[in-house]
Amino acid sequence: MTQTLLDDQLIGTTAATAPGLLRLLARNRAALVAAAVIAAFLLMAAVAPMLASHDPNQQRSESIRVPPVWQAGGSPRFPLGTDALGRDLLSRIVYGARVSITLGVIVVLLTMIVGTGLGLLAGYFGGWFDAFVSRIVDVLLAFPFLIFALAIMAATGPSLTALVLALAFKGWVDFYRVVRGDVLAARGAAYVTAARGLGASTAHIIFREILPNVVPPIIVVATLRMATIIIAEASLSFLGIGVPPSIPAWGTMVSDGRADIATAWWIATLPGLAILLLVLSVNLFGEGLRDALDPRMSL
Amino acid sequence: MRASRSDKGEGAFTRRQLLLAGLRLGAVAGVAPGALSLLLAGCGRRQAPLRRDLVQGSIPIALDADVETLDPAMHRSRTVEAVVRNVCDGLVTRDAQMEYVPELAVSWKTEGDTRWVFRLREGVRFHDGSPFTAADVKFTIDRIIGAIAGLRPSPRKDLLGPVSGAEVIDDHTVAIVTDGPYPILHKKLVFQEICPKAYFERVGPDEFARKPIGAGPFRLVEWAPGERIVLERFDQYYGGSPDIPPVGVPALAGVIFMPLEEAATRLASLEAGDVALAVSIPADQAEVVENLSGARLSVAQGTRTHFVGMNCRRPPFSTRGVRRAMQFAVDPGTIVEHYLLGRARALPGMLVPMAFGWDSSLPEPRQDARRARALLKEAGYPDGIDVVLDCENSDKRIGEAIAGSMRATGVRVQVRVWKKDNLLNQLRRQERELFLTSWGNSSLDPSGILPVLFRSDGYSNFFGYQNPQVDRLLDQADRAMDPEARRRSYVEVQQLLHEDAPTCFHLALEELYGISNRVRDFEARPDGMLPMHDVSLRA
Amino acid sequence: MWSRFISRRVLQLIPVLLGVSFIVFLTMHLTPGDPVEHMLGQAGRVSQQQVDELRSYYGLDRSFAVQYWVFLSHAASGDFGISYSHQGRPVASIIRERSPATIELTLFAFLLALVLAIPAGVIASLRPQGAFDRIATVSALIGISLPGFWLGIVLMILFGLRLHWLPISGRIALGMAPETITGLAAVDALLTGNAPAFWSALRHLTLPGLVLAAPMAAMVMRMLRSSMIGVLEQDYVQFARAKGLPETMVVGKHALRNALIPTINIVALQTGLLLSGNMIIETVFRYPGLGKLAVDAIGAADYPLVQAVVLIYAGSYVLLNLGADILHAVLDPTVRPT
Repeated sequence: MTQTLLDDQLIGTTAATAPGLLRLLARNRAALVAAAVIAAFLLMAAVAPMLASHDPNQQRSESIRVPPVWQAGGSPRFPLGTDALGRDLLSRIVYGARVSITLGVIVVLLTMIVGTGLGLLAGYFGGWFDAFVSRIVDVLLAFPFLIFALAIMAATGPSLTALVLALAFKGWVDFYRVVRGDVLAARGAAYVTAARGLGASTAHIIFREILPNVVPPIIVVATLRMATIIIAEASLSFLGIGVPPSIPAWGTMVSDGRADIATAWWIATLPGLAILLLVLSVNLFGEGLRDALDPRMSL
Repeated sequence: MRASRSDKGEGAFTRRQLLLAGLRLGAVAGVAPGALSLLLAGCGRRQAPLRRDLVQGSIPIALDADVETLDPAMHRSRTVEAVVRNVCDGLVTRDAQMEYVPELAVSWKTEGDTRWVFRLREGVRFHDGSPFTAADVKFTIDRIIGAIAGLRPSPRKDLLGPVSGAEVIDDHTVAIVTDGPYPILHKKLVFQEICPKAYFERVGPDEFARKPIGAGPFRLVEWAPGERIVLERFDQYYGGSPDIPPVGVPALAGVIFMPLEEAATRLASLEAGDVALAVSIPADQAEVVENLSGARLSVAQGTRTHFVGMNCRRPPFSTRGVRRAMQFAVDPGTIVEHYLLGRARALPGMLVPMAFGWDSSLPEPRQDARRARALLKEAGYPDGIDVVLDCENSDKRIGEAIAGSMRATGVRVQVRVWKKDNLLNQLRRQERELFLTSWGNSSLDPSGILPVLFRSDGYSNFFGYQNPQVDRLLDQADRAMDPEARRRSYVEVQQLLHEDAPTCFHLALEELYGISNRVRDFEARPDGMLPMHDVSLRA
Repeated sequence: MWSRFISRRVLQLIPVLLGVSFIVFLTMHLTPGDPVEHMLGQAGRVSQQQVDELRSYYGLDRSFAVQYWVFLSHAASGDFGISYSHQGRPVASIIRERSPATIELTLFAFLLALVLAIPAGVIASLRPQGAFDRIATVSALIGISLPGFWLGIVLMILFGLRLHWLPISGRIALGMAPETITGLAAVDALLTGNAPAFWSALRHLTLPGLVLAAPMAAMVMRMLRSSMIGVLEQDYVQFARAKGLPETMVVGKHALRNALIPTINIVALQTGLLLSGNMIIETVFRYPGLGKLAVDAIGAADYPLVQAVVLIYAGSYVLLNLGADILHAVLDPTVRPT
């Protein structure tokens, strides 16, 4: 599992304006292509029922392990072939996008809210709260993600809620650190002192003054975390403890195809390609965002 | 950014400083994990490399699972048993046709209903040279039934059956006492291997689990967990059961077992010639093995029954009509021919044809959508039923195939997958309504599968099935010393179960092994054992 | 100064490990599964008495708090109890058997990642936006976007099953295992001068090691490249060039040394991830190490074994970070503890 580097790089932000952001992004052609790919996946996920020519769960005992159309024995009826139960791979991949994207968005939003909230509080108030949360962060980081996920899923059985919890368990830390760092830096900034001098309440300072400046790095982190979450969910599904089997998910498909890698290689390989493509695009786009929003954050 | 070093114009560190820093670093970051690794690594257990002649004269076998222990009394794994059976012999064993033959015992007779007297073979030695006597048999039995204080309870106790103890009569005669009449004690002794008392007491249970010895044809040389188990020929072997020729020391120099859990890997190893025997070939790879020029496919009827069970305590399956409808809901042809490539057999009940007391009069299973719908309607479900089929990970494909097959009959099924142990726990608590699972019955005797599943107080009565008549018949069969009486009882039980239908679809999968053409005198066995005593390798 | 710094950090280890062990214990106890059920598997005429006997033997009939306390007090003296899924064999013994494999794989992946990343990062930084740089950057991006389990399967298919170039399971070819000294096959082969065994061990490490190393190599390369680019612009580098020093010395001795400093944190972070990525890779390749052991143990509700493995992972992670901090402080006087 990958984790994007963010700590030492985030030492401040520039409050980018929307048109300025777009202009900067437009200069980065790779990011634009990536954005297009992401949009394509989103579209695919949204209109899956119309796009897929077959029911992804439809089993066909007479069309088992049909190769993709470009191989001998393939058929245009199943452009990417079928799996061991005769299910159309292309349809399953299209539907799989739904799972990955939906879960990814939910988990990222959840971790964003938790991490940002904690980061704002810890950064602004400091003291024992900050120290306490830092302790928790230390413990969490030392914790192998997979073990916790496995244990949770073993404890609760196949459940989407548990899956979301398992995925969100460690994810908020990145948000927390970024926000906390920025808030700490902002605490001494001129505009904050000014606001306080003018008699603004703490809540106002946090939410109206500091938070807007912290939004750009949050967006970057969110995008990059999305990539990690998609891979994490696929990994859990691969291990059999992710999404239930009645819902087509890319990780599950790779796992299903494992028994046939000697003969029907496409069952395991093609869904993984979808994962790679989506995650690559999300990473590219996220980095484009990072370059546009704050070049100092870039690698 | 970093402080500029322009004032010095050189790198900031002298060689000495770097060296010191390195030492300090090594002291903490290096030594700690290093010490850890030393602690953890091979220290204390230096293993010499294998002898060339042993490797070349051994048969390499690819197993489909790893072994967690090598103590014959402390496991419930068929894989462990297959390995250990080459190291430790038992009182009784089975030949390739599943007939019971004496091994370390020469003969036995019953004195009354509860006392079995075994005459033991003389001149048998364990791998450390010590003689095999009745004391070792008593020790083995005592350990399994838990009669030795301070030792871990054995999970094989129930497998042995209602044995209350063993008595040493003389060095080569031992009596085993049962709790009431127990007609199949000799059959159950097949699954218990004799351990040497003196050696066990000397090394203790933990060491015995790592390095057991026995009176078998091969002795343990090395166990690299997760990698290989190496056995070598025991030159003082007494020869084995006289009823299984050839009798004598093994022809092979040794046996090397390798756990290769990935089916593709087992097949690839067989193809490459790295292993001479690969167990558990998946049905769809059978053709690949058949087409290999250097190996052949060996098929055995399995002793494990996969079945779809229903919870008789909860709707909709609490209504017998619904359960009977389910008997016609699955198309066995599609499942067996298409998804299992013909490498299985659909059965009308839980017993496999090879089992003792199999009722051949039960009708062959078939799908009848119209009848199923009619029965459902009669039972009050004119629109069919919506249910969840729970199964374990490894049965997922069969589960999904069954679900797909049922759709045509108005039974709409969603498959839910669990880890095996989770599922079994829930089934025991009768928490699931429709489920796919399996039960192994290596003894091929109905007492190994019917009571535990279908008795009202059966430990694994997943269905909540209660039928006093069945209970009575099963008890009768348990106690009748006359085989014919037992058979009659069991046939009646099967008839009753067919009528009451707590289960609706049964499959016995074939066991497929890939065997190199160099291997002589071995074929796949229904019980999954891998006795290498009589096997030889062509050059 | 140093001793205080180090001892303070080592002390911080303890609450972290406690916290981790508590969370694991709690989670595992919430599991409805019963390890005794697993032990008995498909038991036949098992009686409730037999089940109770086993539960009592393994101490499973005591309350959560008591069980946790028993575990802690024993662990402090190095006794990690007995494994349920291994039929009562001592946990320490099982871990001792399996850890060399994981240590070897992790070490190999670590070295492989550095061997790939450092030269690539340096060369890429010499000509930013040049051909090599572009390729390296794209490769790195792909490297962090790859799902590890999928890459493992693809490599297995390609190099193992199709091309037959590399083995896809096991640690060494049959019969070639050298005499065990450390338990690390490749190292033992070197120590005993056994060349064929060394190459066999290396070949078996290649596929899983590559998959494990890929994300780390990618991240380290990117970090080093960016760091080098920054350093190469600095005054003292220009100064060194102006002094007439050969380019290799400028780059190798001056620039690289300073560029490596921020890279150390990344290396530490990624190495920590090697430990967790380990589990998936070992499961994909069925590699007989701790990762696979842990995954199987969790599935079998084997609390003691899981606890021990988790503690090892967590402990290694913390030690790793400590080592990185120390190395960082050593190489960069500006962040030394005062």
